[in-house]
Amino acid sequence: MIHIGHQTNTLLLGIATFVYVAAMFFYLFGLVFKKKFLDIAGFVVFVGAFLIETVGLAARWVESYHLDYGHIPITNLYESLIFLSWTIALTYIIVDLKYKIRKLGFPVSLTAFIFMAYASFSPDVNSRIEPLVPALKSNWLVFHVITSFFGYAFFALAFGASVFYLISDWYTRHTNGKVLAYLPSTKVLDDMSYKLIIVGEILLAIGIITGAAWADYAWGRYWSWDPKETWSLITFLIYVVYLHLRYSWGWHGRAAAIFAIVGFAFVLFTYLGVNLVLSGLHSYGSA
Amino acid sequence: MDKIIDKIWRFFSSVKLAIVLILIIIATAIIGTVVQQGLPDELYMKHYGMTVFHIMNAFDLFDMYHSWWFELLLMMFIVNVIVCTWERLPAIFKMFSNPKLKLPVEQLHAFKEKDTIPYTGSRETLIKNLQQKLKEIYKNPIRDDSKEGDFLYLEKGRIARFGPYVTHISLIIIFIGVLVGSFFGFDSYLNLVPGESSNIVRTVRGNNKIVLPFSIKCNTFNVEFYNSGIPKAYKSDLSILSDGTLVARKVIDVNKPLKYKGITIYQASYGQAGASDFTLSLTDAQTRENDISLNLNQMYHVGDDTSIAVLDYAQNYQGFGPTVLLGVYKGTKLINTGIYLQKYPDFHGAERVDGYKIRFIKADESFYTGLQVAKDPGVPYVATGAIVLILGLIMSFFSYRRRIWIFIPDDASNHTFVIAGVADRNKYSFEMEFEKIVQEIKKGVNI
Ligand code: HEM
Repeated sequence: MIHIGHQTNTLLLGIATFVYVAAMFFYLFGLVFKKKFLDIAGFVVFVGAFLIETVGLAARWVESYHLDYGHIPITNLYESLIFLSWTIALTYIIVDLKYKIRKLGFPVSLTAFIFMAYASFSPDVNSRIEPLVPALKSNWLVFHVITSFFGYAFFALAFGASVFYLISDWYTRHTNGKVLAYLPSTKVLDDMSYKLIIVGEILLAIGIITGAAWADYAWGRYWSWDPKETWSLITFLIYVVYLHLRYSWGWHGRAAAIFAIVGFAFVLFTYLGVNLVLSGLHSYGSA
Repeated sequence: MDKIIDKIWRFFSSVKLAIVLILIIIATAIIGTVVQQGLPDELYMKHYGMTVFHIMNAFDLFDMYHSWWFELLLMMFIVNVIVCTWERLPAIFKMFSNPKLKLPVEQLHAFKEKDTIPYTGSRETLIKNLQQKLKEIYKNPIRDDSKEGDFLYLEKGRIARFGPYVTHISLIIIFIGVLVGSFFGFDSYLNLVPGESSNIVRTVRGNNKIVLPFSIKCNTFNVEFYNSGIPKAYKSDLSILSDGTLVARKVIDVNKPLKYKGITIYQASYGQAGASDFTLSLTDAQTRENDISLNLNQMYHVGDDTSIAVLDYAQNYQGFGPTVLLGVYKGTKLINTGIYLQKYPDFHGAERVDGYKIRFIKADESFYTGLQVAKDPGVPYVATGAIVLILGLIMSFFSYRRRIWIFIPDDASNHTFVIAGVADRNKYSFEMEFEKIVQEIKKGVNI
């Protein structure tokens, strides 16, 4: 039996970080030089980085069993940053295969790189595998984290699509209607951002509900207005406002894109800000 | 009077109000995450100063999620959802039982997605071909005729129109659950030392006494630690006693509660119940060591007339670690006290009690178990509402309603017909879909 050491998983994750950078440069050159093969190369390298990261996470999971802690690697700040970049990468790959949004590869690989680099190289983030306090030993936790994180990932992609929308829209208006050939049309970007938000909203709702179910199992209280809970509800409500503005007032285009970008600030605060700035029950704040 | 009710009704039926209310709820909810909730008043006074404390306290900012004004906001919001849903529901049912198979022709021309298509041959052949073709590529159309011609009506994704209503009704179900919980449930805590039992618990909010219909006995309590000192598991072996007879017994764990008669007992926390067993070492003039074991306040004779006792214990006294307060007695009279630190055995230097140098070796600590005792008959409603909420969202978004009308005028002189369509959402997707249908029809009808 091969023993997978602590170094193996952090090493693999460190390598993945740099492969994401490589993918990012291919995508960037693809945008600058408008060559299709650069986009394809970017995608291939990106998938490579994703696979290395997947193996790294799996190795970490196995390793936690060797240490007798035995838990899915999503329980401290380091693991959550890695896992978030992983969910964003996977969501991007799936959405790309279905909707051909290759151009989003640049901001996505940049984001994946930023999260991984922060996890790997920030002195505030501890990469050791840590034991779980008893309250976190629950299957609900696994559902809760996975659904919430995929929710975050969809909102992140919607954010990327909205930024591209604004760029494309700005360019079109300042060049008398010439479209930016290497970005999808504003129509496509607007539609894409909306659909990504819808999926994000459903996943976030499931995340909040599984979190409440877990709290009910562990403490007999499904809701206690703890800052993390409250912020996830706030984020959900922000996107409820977005959906109603869009549905009942026909908001779309620039206004909707700006709303989606502001909405993502709420997602980021729910994910990181609450733990780094506020205090509460959730685990990875002190990591 | 009717007018006022009408006005209030209209106020609450507005989606604009919903947006404003949600934004206010968001803004105020943020306050409660920035100002820590539910701490003792003294801490707030120290942190904010008296003046600010009084202002903030007047607005209930230290327990804001239960303040009258926040609850009022939530109430208004739920009334908003109810009125909104109630007002629009009839139209939804009408749409379901009675779709608009035909529209005024001008309206067809006003849609963004529309086309006028020429054809050859007879009207009847065209209609037959269209019906056949549409059935193949899209959906079986409904035919209807009007004074000016024939309509073919196509609709997809009607179920999605119910989605928002299912979602809104789920919010009402969740709200009912919350109300049921707050009227008929309670949330309390109970700390028990192993061996102890009690039927009296105290509420988490307000610290009010509640008498349970049974008593809870803690038989044993165990904490396991990881090497790093982080707790790994804590478990209580509990018995439920009704009129003195055992009716249930279970070892509970965090995430594994005990349920009895609608009341659930959760392992919530634990704490130090004070140390019960202390080990001291006595060294006499000949440096012979002698370890003794004492309970709290238990006297131990060190000389004919002198005795010592552990009077108090602290797990970490002013950062010096485990510490005992030792009393020295002459007869039964306390004549001296001294602090003994486990980590600093030489703290007292050469000082001796009746010829003995005393060191504090260790304390065997005992814990109490922290139980949460809760009853919430609203949970089944909230859980149902949550599931319905997800179903409603999925219904709303996995499809969308789009309608297409084809109008073939009786007046066949110019040999064209009109196709027009509209979607409730996903206008862009519909644009593509509509284009494809038009292409297919253009290819297919003139055979
Ligand atoms: C947390 C609260 C709420 C949630 C989760 C929610 C959810 C939804 C969803 C998912 C839709 C469908 C939107 C779309 O298809 O793009 C919708 C539509 C709508 N909502 Fe809400 N909503 C909420 C609060 C409210 C409130 C308070 C009102 C009261 C005015 C309201 C009024 C409406 C209306 C009128 C529609 C359009 C319905 C239709 O299709 O006929 N919503 N809502």
